[in-house]
Amino acid sequence: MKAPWRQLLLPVGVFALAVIVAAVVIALSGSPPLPALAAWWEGAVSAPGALPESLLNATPLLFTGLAVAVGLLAGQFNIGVEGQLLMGALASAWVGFAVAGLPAPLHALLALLAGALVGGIWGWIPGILKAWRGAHEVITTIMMNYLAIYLTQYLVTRVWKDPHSMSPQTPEALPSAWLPILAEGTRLSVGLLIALATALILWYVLKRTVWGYELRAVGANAEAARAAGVQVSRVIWGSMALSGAIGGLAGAVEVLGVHHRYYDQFSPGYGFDGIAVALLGNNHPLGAVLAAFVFGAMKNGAVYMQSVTVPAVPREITTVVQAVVIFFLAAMRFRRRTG
Amino acid sequence: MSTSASTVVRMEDICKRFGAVLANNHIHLSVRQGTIHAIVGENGAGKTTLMNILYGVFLPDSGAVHLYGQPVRFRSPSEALQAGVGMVSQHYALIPRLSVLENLMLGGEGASFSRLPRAQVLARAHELAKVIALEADWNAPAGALSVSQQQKVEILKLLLRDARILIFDEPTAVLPPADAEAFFALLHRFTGEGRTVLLVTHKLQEVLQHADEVTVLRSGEVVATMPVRESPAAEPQVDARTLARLIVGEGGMLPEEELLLGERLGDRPRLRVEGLTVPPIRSRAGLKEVSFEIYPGEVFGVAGVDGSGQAELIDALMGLTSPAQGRIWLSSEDITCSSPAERLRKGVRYIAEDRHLRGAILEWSVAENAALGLHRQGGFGSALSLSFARMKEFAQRIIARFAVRAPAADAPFSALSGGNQQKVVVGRALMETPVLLIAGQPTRGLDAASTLAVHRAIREACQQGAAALVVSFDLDELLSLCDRVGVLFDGRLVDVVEGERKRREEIGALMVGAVRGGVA
Repeated sequence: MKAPWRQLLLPVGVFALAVIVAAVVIALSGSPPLPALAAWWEGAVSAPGALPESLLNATPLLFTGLAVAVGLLAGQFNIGVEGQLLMGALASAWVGFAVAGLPAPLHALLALLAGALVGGIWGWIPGILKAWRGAHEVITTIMMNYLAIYLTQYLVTRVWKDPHSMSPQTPEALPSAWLPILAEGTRLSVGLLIALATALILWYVLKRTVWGYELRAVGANAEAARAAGVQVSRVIWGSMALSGAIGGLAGAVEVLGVHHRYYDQFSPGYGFDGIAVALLGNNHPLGAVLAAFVFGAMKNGAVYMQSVTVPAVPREITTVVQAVVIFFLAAMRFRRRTG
Repeated sequence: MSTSASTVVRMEDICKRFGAVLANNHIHLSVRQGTIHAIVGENGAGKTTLMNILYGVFLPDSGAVHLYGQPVRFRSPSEALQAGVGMVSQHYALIPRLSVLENLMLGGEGASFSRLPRAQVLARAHELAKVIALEADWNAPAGALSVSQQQKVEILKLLLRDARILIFDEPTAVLPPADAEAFFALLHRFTGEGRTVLLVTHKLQEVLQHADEVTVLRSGEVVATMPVRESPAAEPQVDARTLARLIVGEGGMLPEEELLLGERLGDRPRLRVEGLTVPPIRSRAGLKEVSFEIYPGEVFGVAGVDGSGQAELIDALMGLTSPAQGRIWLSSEDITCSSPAERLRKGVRYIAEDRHLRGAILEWSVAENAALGLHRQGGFGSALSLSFARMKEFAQRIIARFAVRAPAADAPFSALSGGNQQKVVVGRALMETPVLLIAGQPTRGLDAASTLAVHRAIREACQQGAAALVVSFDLDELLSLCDRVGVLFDGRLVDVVEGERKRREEIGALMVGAVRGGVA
């Protein structure tokens, strides 16, 4: 085990590098980079009301980052978090509007569970295909993403469509299913606390339970794990189901905490952002907390930056930073393995 | 020593540090052309590091390497190969999924988009294969070959690149005796052609029989370099005792103790195998109606040419493969269908034949590896609260008992030298007396003192009531450690020898199928 601060060194360095690349891109696009970066920081952290909004942005990223990290630790590259998130979101939205008569915390809890369960099933299917038939999870999870996109689209345009609206969306969830707001005057809900609790529980499970030990063993050397009595196939589908459940929770918390309904294409790709979060967080649940905050704040700040810079720096600049981070960290991981 | 004209390799004042460990400490080494130069020393003495520096795997922290009098600085093995230096590592570097031919071409592809020189390579490989007596299907995946064959493919790879200086790291560790003899005949042939051989080995007999010169390393330093014989045909001038003394140093323990053979403790077999049959896959022989019994207190050896069914036997006993036919009893319990986890819980312990493949997790700490396979036994806390403190404490006990050279119990496992890694894997299985020990080459890569420590630990466990099955390619190990030795040939247990019949010649003959006994 390296000292904690040394584990931070690489991600921090790579992130700094990514910001420099972003500054260069901003300069090339014709905006002065330093004021743009200042505006970015302001919008992310220091402007009034910026911090809660950054935390709001970070919440789904934390869930999806954890989902990807669990998979990677078990040796499974779950690219299907996006699909698991969509399915979980729709399931929780349905419980939110269709199940009536439950008291407030119970209704919300049931809706969250439904999200986790359906997301979990969506992850378990590729898991079981891998464990039993050897189908590669990268292929099957991408396929499951398409299934989820079109299935949810069909359901919100045909079956569970809000009759009072033209848009493809479900009816609004009953207030009993809403997640309570954390602080007056913000959009920040207890969803953030659920995400943080998930990170803590996950960290404990991975580090301190037999199941987590076996999961990491399978991820690091499946053959050695098998010889040590670990049922590898069970770990594979179990980790994929857990990963999917966390992805489903991401969708559920977005629906119950922010939008209070499911509408088509509500996710700007949170599931894929999770890959960058997991990588920057070094596959560590607590690292994912930091990484999710960084990316969430960046997304939030970029909106502000776009509105104040002349010429406007498009907020999609965050994807540049994300791409550079993935690029470098993935390269480093590969280097460490061969070197 | 020698004139500089015939010195092909000169390493001067080489230092290499890994973290807190000074692996090579001001090492000087000169190797004359056309000789077999042996490098000996305990585990972690720095032999492999030194060879890796010569082969371009590591750059030295300080010091210089000269080849034919010219200074060289290899930053990668491919640079070393271009200069004619080749190495066959302890863990062969073949890619199991690629075919033999593709493995041979690897590294010599030429420009990125040029056509692979399939035909040329094949033609030359055919020729060279005859020289080294390799018979293999060029299109078979390399992973399907036996260990001896894989080694020959590695050698062939070096010959194709026309390597003039050949480094072998523990080349005979996993070879059956007949193959080992053939291997040395090949080495002498190479030196006769003017090639130079560097031989890292733990087997002092090999040094005395085959080497021209020997360098002894201890704790990263050269303690002696001396000629073994004047000319290739001459008798050795040094003896094993002198070498062993140099290797362990003044205060060290000499491995000269004779192991006492065990007694059966009780007359009910601990392990009973009846009619065990596993279908053959690829070049693996499978198992054909194998039956035997092991009693408590007994060490049962399994001899045989590599690929005769040893791996299948171990897998079947550990529950890693399910046999097509036959039954396995542990004491009076039928465990044929038990999972590996259940067998571990019943006290079966496993020393994996290949620690990198299945014995350990390199990325983990020593402590986490120490618990691997025992993690469900309750010794490290409950399922919901594993204790790292207890894993560390357990690892520390292994480190103390087996004299593992490790910086700390929570150091990364990969920071340990191969031999010390093996000690952790062995120690894990033997810290508490197992009900049944299944050991695949338990002393692979260990020096003489460590080998003895492992043998003693196995013996002790058996005196306390364990039964042990030991698969080994080292006949000396089987002869000194085991009460009875079963010989596998082509998946059949052709005979079980004990007492008077437990002799090298007898087992050697059975291994190649020359004699067929009645026991099976």
